[in-house]
Amino acid sequence: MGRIISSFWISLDGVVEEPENWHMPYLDDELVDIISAGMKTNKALLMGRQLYDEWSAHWTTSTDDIAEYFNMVPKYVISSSLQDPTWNNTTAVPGDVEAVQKVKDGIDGDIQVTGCATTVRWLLAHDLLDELQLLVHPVVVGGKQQHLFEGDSPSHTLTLNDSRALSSGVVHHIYRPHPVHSGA
Amino acid sequence: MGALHAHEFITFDGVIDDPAWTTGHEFLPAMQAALDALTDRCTAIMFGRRTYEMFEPAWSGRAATDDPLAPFFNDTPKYVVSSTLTEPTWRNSTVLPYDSDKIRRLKEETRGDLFTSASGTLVRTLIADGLLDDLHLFVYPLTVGAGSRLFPETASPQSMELAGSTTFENGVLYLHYRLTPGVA
Repeated sequence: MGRIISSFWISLDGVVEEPENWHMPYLDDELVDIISAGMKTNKALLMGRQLYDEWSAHWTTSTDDIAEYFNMVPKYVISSSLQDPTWNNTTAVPGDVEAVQKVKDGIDGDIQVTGCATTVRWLLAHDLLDELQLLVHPVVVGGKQQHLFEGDSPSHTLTLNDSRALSSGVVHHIYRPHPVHSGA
Repeated sequence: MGALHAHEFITFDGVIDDPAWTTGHEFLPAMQAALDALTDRCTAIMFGRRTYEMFEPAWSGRAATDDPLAPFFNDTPKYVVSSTLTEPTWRNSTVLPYDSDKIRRLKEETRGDLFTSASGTLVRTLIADGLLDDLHLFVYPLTVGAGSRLFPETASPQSMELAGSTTFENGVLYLHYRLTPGVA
């Protein structure tokens, strides 16, 4: 059975949106090592519809070296409206717990969910998320940008599995969520 | 010239108020030691009015035998930042209406560093006015959703320096950020 893992670049004030505006000064070798280690172990990507639309348009035409990875890796898109996805190796998954659980059961390895806080909050609320990795950047972004958790998010308890400070001041945390539903 | 330090209990979704949520994690000797190391270098305390009103009944009747931090809170000169309080009853307390110039002067005139804790409104204002030098965050491995955040949407963008990072055995993290590099 696979594990669903979420990784975020996140600011000290919890912002996860538009990291390209605040994350660049911290993109050093240590951070690149963490990102590429994750890409090596991921067996598949899980994403929401919005990110699918953005990424399928971007990576299919990109000449970046990394484009091949995104085009080849198996991709699962949580969407009830997406039909016959055209991006290579993409499967649409209805947005219900059983369907996502089936994806997990069918993959032996890590499934990386990325980019979307609302998807991660939904996975957390339904005991589908196995690991939350945060790369906390020592920067306050401010403004009305999307936070990983918003004020109306339910409470969650997690176990801190590992934490390591990088020399740039970014701290890499690995959290394992506790089940929300008993018996899960 | 003293540096101004703020110590906060914070969830990893950034909430600092009403930290009843800390009770699920034992306050370990190592956490006490970290806090002691901070209070040992501080010769003055600054509180917001609400925190002062919560701390006075909690600490004024305690002695070192009850809690190792009791002498620090009771015997150290305390500045209560308030525009409404007039007659503080906790010993060694002085009312100080918020005035950034006066606080800057107080920092200059204090031998040793200054300590504050909780006091959300005060700490947010000190950060906005560039008066807070160091943030000492005890980050609990949980999210609570609702609650007042250390960094609200109105917070100004700012980068900080990670000065220290410690993981306690219970999954609480101690992250020490320097807001005014080169000053402390």
